[in-house]
Amino acid sequence: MAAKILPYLLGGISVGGQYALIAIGYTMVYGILRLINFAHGDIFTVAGFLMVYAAATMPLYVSVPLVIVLTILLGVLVEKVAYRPLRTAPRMSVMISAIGMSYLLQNLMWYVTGGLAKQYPTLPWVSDKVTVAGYSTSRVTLITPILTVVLVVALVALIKKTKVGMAMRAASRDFETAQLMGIKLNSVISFTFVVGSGLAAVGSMLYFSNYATVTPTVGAMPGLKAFVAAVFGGIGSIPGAVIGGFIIGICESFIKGTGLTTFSDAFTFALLIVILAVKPTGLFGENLTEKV
Amino acid sequence: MSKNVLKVEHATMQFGGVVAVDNMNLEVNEGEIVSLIGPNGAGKTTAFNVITGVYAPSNGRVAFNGETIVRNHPTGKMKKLYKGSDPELYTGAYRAEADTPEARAALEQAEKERDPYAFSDHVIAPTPDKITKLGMARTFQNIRLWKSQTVFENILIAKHCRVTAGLVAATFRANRAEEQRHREECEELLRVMDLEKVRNEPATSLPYGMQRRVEIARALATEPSLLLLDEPAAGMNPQETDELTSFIGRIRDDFKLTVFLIEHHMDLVMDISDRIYVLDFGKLIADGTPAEIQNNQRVIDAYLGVSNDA
Amino acid sequence: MKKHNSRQKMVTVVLLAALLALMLLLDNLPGVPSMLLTVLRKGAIYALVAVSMNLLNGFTGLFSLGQAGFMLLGAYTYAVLTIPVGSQASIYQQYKGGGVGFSITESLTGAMGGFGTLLGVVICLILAGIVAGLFAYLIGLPVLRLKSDYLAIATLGFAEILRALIQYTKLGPITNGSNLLYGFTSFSDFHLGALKLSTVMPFLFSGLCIAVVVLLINSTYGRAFKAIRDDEVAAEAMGINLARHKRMSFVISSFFAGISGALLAMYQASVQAVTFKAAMTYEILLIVVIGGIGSITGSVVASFLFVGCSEWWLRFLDNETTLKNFNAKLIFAIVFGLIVLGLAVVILRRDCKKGLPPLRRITAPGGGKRVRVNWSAIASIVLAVALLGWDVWFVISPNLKLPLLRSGFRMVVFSVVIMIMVLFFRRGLFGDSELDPAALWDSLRGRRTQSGRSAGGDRR
Repeated sequence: MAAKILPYLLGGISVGGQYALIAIGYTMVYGILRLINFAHGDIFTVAGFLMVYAAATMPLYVSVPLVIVLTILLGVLVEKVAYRPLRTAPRMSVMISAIGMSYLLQNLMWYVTGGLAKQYPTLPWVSDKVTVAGYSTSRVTLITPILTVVLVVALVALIKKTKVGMAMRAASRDFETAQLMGIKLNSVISFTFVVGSGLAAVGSMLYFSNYATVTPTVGAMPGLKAFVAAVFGGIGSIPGAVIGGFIIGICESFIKGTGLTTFSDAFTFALLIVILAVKPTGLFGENLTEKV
Repeated sequence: MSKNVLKVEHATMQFGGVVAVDNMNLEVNEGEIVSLIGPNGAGKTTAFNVITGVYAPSNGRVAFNGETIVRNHPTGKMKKLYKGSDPELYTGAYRAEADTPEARAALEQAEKERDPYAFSDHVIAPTPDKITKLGMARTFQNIRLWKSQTVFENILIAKHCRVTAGLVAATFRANRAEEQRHREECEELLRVMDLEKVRNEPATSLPYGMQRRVEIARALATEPSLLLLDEPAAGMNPQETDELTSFIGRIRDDFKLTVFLIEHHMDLVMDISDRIYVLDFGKLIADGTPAEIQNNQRVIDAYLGVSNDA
Repeated sequence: MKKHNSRQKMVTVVLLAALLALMLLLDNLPGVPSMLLTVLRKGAIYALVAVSMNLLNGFTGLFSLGQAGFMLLGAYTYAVLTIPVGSQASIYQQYKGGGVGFSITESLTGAMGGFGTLLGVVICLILAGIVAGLFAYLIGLPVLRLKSDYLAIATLGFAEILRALIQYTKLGPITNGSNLLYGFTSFSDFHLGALKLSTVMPFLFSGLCIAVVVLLINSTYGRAFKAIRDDEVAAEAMGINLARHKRMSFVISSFFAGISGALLAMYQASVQAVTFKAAMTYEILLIVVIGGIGSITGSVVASFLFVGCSEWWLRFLDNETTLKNFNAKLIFAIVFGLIVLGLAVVILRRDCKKGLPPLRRITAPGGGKRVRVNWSAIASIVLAVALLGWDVWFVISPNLKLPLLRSGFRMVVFSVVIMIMVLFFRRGLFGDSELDPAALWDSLRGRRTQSGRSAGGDRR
């Protein structure tokens, strides 16, 4: 029996880790800006395309860091262009801007790539086949959870122990007061996007090593699922986002295993609605009361 | 003996570890103007919010015109965290010393007649709109007018709770007579509140004092019998405060209202109130007529202070 | 005041009648570009969805992203109930014995001829709306309590769940799974004798529904919705039951979204679940924003603009263009150069008016001098110089082909324009006010307006 569930479990942990890496970007941005960064999934896709073009012209040890750097630059640029001007605008305006930005990025990708799906390059060593307990899978499946945990531990340490981290925590508690206390909000927010986009780039490398076809809309679903993971774990909580990501990845894998593939996407949304109905603040979230 | 309009029993409101209102008991009778005063943060607006249903109290009971409209007791996690006074299933009479079992039984019986849910753990936690429909209206400490609407529209919207027409009837204008009547009533309110000149201005573009008048007019449009005013004179100069004083008396008479207000302007409070309750750190420390309160040492220490020209 | 109202109503009615007459002409005159008709029909349908979304988002303040799901429900309800019985076997071939076994339009046409078709269509449209409204009622029960962002994601999620459900193979016998549904009554089936009505009908249906929404907005319930949007705590305190009114708004908005989905099906003459993705909801949202959140005329106008731009006017951007000769190239280069210069001047003037030249020495808070750099001004200057440099190079080079113009460019330009609108023109075209047809008519005819600015002087 164990042998039967092992492939699904492994696959679930693998894709779950990738969702977790993307989810962190969502949860961090939402924690501070109260904004659902709809464009995050598209930044993830752009990272995929960048790797396709980079790996075709450059050796891997150049293209991997280059892709990460470019993705980070893109994330920061999106924040500067689409979100910073609307810092004082009502929440709905910013969300609409995020949607508009997502729309723009998708159309740009479509235009640049000509609409044809691109094949993701196989990264050596990462994509090698290994055998786990009699089941053959690619090394990505093993690396992902380990890498995810390592990165998350580093991130949590950063948030708890460094000044920047403290500034981020302050900003997500009370935006305006943090500013009054002299925290350079623009820097903090840019840093948040740097971390989020960087993690998304890493996540994209792991994800596309598994699902090697890249199209402009391929990031939309993982993006949404990662967002659900963030909500499920408690928006604003990084450990929550990670746990949420793994749970969704594993459940999705098992549902695909039982043959109801059309519902694997729907399951994620059903989970979202259940958590919103039962405990909207998520597993690790906190309650806020409004003063009348 | 005038009819009791509002009765609050053992009301306690606890937010996490903070007890904002602690075992508050008060009553307001028909036609009275009663004030609730106290330092900032004493829990006055919280008390209002409990009475109007914005918060369900952690414990306690509110009765309006003899009928229980809000009732709650600590449950679940709250049972352990509860810091307020004894969560008795609040009965005023029961608390009185009853020496013999027969006396106690008689008191319990009388209590049950007064409040059918006495001694039970029945919970009543309506949304504020239901309480408003029963005839209790309020204004807010921070003015909450609808900013995209004009003064007239703000008042007209408050009439919506008295509309009997359904959605379809209203959409296809089958309710012309009722709509016309409501509009006329709102025009009347505009006249009474002296707001006719600004009826078509966006409500939030008016000076502060005028906005407060609009809020009061809006509350009156819901056809209340009890009006709760939260700091109606805030931000007003002495002349406006005087006008407000006579104004509140006038509307109490014209609209047959009972008024319960929170206020910091002591001249207004002492002038207009029939009775005063004083709240400090969530607890009632005194109640009585203005004269009694002015001479109450505890109140002076906590709040009023001593005037320089003794 | 009342006289102004009834006059306003009369003018509106006259204008609408004129509009319908115009559509009738366009339907039947030869030589009318088919693109125009496409834009008009699709625009009318999108206008209804946009208005329904505006009712929910703009007038009640509930940010919901589930429109596509309700359109989907409406489209499928309509299609399933109107496919002629004879065709059902072949359309549902993957699911033996699929289809509902009857067709409302067919039965009524058999009984009452042409009028029967119309009646059948109207009944099916209403049923489409009812099904959508019913689902909205059920979905609203848990979802409407949530705060705005969560509401958005929850409704988005429900729309996706609905889409997956429709494509579920077990429901195939009714929905045909992920396959196409076609063959049902569409707009091209409408004609009055020899007169074609394929553009009049969408306008008529859409217009009637929008009229109902306008009536609702101006009724006491509409005002209650606006109160909820502006301050729901105050609304609740003034006796408006939040849960009930939010549900009302949600159900009505979804009802009309369902009808518009059915209209879309009629326009496309085919229905497939995969077209009703979240992207469709985003487009509607963008239309609402461009038109002005809280303005019905805005939504209507913006729909036509949106459909016009995306389907028709910007199409040339997708085609690879080669200029004919050097003169044409020169003209293009000059025009391009002037535009770049003009924009650069406007942006720099705006910056410099604020007293911020590109580089400035300022005194830093802690004392000592620092150079303050105005990045946006420098970026604009650099960009302008680069573009002008390219312009000159283009003139010199032997190239005649315009760069950038190829498939997909249209949507890029379109998205950029939308981002510019969202960032700089947040209030949209109409903000939250409506176009007053009577006032417009007056201003067209001359200066004698109702507000008293007549030759006789001011009347205050």
